[in-house]
Amino acid sequence: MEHRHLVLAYAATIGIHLIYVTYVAVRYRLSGRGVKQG
Amino acid sequence: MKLWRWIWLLVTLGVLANGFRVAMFVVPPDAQQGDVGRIFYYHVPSWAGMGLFFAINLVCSLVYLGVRNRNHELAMKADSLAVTSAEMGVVFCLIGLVTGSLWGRAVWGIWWTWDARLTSTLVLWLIYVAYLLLRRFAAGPQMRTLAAVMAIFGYLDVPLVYMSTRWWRTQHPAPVFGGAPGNGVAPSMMPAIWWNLAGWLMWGIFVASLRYVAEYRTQRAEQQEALKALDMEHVIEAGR
Repeated sequence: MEHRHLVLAYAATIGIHLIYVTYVAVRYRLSGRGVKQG
Repeated sequence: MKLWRWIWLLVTLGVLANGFRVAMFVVPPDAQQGDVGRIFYYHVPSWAGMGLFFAINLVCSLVYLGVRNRNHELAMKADSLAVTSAEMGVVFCLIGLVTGSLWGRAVWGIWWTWDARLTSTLVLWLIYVAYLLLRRFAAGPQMRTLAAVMAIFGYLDVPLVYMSTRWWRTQHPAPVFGGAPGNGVAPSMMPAIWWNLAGWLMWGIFVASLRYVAEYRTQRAEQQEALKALDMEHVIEAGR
């Protein structure tokens, strides 16, 4: 039981960071190509 | 991506991997909570990251307001860093709330309670989400000034969050760093804290550096587009 919460907390930490860094990577690439962003 | 960013990323991933190893396999389990207490090593660095990036947002907002009419280049840099640090702070804050909720469920038996610490933290997250929404959807030349003013008032919640466990009786435990005598972290836990603190802050700086470049490039492109449009207007005026 207690390991489930530990694993979920670690997965949430990694998952949220991965989602955000993907968004940042896309914006970084687009800005380098001079694509206008919203 | 520049070479220094690749090196920084490699070192960061190394520190994070070692942080994981130390947190999960090296330091002993918590005497009362057992292994679930290891959430601490992800929970605390998230708050440290949030504190760092919201503080950067505050400083950049003040700089923007101070120089926006005198030094456009510095103002653009400060504003780009302000939005970058607000996003990074929101990400760290969200992780802190989620890991805290999971920890609360395991230890207290509840996902959430409206005590002063949790409520003020949720309000803080909502303030900065509102700041980002304002920046995303508001238009016009005053948007950045309004956002900077909002960021300064929003930051007032940070000391409230920090002091909440000292000022009020809360479900959330008393502070372990700089708290009352008798509270504190066992020396055997410290390596896991330091490795994860360093790793997640380094990760935050890496991501923020990319986001800053993207924002600065975008703002610069928008500025050049506006200047071109202004030039065209002058040409049309001259032709009349």
